[in-house]
Amino acid sequence: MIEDLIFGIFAVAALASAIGMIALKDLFRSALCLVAVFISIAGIYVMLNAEFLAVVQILVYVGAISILIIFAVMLSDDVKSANLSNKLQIPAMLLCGLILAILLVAVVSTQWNTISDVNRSLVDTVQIYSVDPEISESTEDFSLASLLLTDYVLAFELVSVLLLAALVGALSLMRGADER
Amino acid sequence: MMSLETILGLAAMLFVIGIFGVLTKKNIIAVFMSLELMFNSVNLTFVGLSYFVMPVNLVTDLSTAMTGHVFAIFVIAVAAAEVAVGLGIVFALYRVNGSIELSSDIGRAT
Amino acid sequence: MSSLTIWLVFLAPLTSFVIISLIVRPFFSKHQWISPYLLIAGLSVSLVVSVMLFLDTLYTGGPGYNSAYQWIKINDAAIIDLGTYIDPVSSTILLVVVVVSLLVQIYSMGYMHGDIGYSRYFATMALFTSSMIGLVISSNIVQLYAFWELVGLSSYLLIGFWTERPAAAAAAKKAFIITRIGDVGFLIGILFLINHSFALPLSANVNVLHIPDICSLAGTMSAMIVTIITLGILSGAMGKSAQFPFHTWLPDAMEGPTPVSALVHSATMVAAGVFLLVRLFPFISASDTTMLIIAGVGAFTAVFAATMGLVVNDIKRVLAYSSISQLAYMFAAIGLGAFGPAIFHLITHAFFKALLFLCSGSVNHATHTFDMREMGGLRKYMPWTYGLMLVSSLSLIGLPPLSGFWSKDEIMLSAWEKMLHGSVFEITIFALLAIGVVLTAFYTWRMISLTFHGEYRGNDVGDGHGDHSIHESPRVMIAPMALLGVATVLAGFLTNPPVNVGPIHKHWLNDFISSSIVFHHGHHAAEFSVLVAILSTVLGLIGLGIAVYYYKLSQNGKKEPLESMKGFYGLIYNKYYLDDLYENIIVRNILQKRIVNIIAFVDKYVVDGLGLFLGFAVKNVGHVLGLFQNGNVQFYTFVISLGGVIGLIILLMYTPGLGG
Repeated sequence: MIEDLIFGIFAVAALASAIGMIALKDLFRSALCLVAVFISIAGIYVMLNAEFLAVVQILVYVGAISILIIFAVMLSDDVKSANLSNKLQIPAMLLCGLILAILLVAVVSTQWNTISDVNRSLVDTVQIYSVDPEISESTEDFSLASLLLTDYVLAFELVSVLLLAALVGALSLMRGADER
Repeated sequence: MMSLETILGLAAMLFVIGIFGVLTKKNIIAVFMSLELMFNSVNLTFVGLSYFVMPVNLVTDLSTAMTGHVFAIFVIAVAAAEVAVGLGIVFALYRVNGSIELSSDIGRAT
Repeated sequence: MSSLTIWLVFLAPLTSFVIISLIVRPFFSKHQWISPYLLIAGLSVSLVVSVMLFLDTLYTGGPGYNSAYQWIKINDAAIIDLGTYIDPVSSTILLVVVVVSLLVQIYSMGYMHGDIGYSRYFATMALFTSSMIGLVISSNIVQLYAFWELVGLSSYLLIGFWTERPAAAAAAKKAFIITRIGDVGFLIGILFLINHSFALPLSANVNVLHIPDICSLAGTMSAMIVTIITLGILSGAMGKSAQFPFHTWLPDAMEGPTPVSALVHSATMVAAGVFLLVRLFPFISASDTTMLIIAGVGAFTAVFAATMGLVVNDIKRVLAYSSISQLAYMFAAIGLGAFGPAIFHLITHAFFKALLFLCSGSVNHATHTFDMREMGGLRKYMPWTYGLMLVSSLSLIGLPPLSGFWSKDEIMLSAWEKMLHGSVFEITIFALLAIGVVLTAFYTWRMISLTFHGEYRGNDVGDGHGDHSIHESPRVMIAPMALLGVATVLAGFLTNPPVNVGPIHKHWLNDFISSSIVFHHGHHAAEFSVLVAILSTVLGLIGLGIAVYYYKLSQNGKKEPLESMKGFYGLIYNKYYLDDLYENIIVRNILQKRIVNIIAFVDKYVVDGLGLFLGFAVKNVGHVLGLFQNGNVQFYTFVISLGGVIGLIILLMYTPGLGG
């Protein structure tokens, strides 16, 4: 019961902050709203057995990406009224309503194969203890770290290459015009 | 209250708000922010499905319960790379144009 | 004789045409003198071959039908093939065409000397001659029709040869259009023939487009269809031969160079109509209506054209009306069933009329005018021309023993025999032909008198030499004229004598023509009648006498004798107002004001409207589509999202448990 309440708070906070991010004219405040959305989602992650992701969310989004965005926000001439909209608002609203309707219909009408009570504790165990398999009683290695380095090692290495490329690309873009 | 449907519904709403921002914002930073919001809603979907939906091979392989989390981690990594490059482009654009507004004919109104 | 040899008669001048127009004109414009020699060489080959063909046909029956190539097969009974059909008619006409053409080309070397379009002239002449030869030897009526139009085309090019003269261009256009109106009838006739082929039984084993087969076709058709087809062919022939009411183009065609008038517009091309009718005579004669019309048109035109010739001041136009009148005699003869005399008159007329034209060209060469009011007294300066002109004129009048007498006499004789056991119609025909003889004599002598007798009235003293500028034409012009003069004297009696003369059988040409297999019942020449001969001679002498009487007294042509008859004079001087009728009333008032307005309306609102609508539509659709390419990335994203949504909807509709 208390869980539902907390989830409700987080959910409402996330939605409200997202709407605030869209609606506020002050670009800096809307960036702050975005941070609020990130934190709310991190909270929901915690409730969904994804503590590690929650931490990563805080570190990467709130700690890094938000800071970068706020840096960029400072480029605007007039931050207080920089978050303007174009003429597409009404068609975009219609389109977004349509998409939302479709998604909700799809969500509601799909027959989800939810986890039965028998398997609930098993899944909980796996997800909760995936970060630290030493604690778990199982001998099977299902930790996130070993998954990344065994089953998903190819994608993992690709992501590292991607990050390297992004690093180099960002650097070359940043110093670009001066030295070329 | 905390059910799969509510989680997915919340994610859908955040996603739609993100789309709206991408379509309507004049400032390229705001567009970026909307994009990040969309990434997050997708991540929320992954995690929610991972929590509520029965993995097909759970009995034989317990690690299938972690698939959603792994995907979410990759999405976060890609998003970080995207932001790094994207903001680099914004800076370059700023240096060239002196402005970070998306130039558009129909963007002058509001 | 191989089929290639026969084709050589056509290919030799065609080769000259190709060489002159594609090699000499563009690349050797400084060596134009070579053009006539090329053409004369080609025509010499043709001459040799055509003489061989003529003798071959005369003694052994000739090569007959040779098919070179099957072109289009419409069905079993309608095949368009390219072939030659050499029979007595075509071999005779072929020889005449080649001989006259060769002589005219030699004459042209002198007449056209120094003209800026020297090579172009001979190239067009080569095209004309080869087309004319092709027309004569064609075995298929569609092939003949193609050459028929090619002849018309080269006639157009030759009339309008002096392109800088507006009158020449107008005359060329007029000739082309009027003959084309007649040719439409010809085409309709051909189409009816093709249509008839579908009704033929398979066992018929005929080709409705094959000329010898056409001649035997009449029995398989209803009389109505025969009349329609023959009238169609007749309209083509009347257009080409300038018979009433299609005659107006021929006098105007005199704007072309004089040798062209001699060859194209008197000796050969205009005779193609007569040739066509004789070629298809068994078929034509199957329709009594058509035969009556041919005879009527012929007799009427004979007098009608001759009256207009009475008052014209242009020497070439006198000859042009004379040509129409003489061709009308041939038509009348055909209409009376006497195709042999028609061909005979065609041959003699080709010689003496070509000579008359060449003489008028010679006069023009000396005086630089065609207006007879500015001539006179040329007898002193141009004795050769005068002599040859006199011979050919007397031949035209029909005085014995010149060639014109014999052929005209044959026609008069046929008409006379018809009249003896005929009705009012035949009597009228004979009467008209007789009046025509008187008129012919009158205008011919008027021409001679105004041109050669009396005192010189011209004011051609611009070069400071006065009368001395008038001189006889060069030998290159006189020589072919002299040869034609010999032919004019001899061609009549020797080619168709009324009695046996030593080795020459009487009426041999007539019998020869009639021996063509297509004529199932040959035309047996009427026995020579002294009465008719004297009658036609006397009629000619009467006309001659009147002319001599009038023009001797008023030698200087101050007043035309006919001018006293005011109404009649005005009528004929204005060519019976037919040109006004055609051009002002039919073309301007009816065609331009009514029909052309409708066409213009359709053109303006339907055709142009369609174009404008297309432009408007493209412009606006482009404008609308352009809105999608506005350079706004977010708009693009919007459209992409819309597409994604549509895809999603479709996906959901086909997902089990949802929509599908």
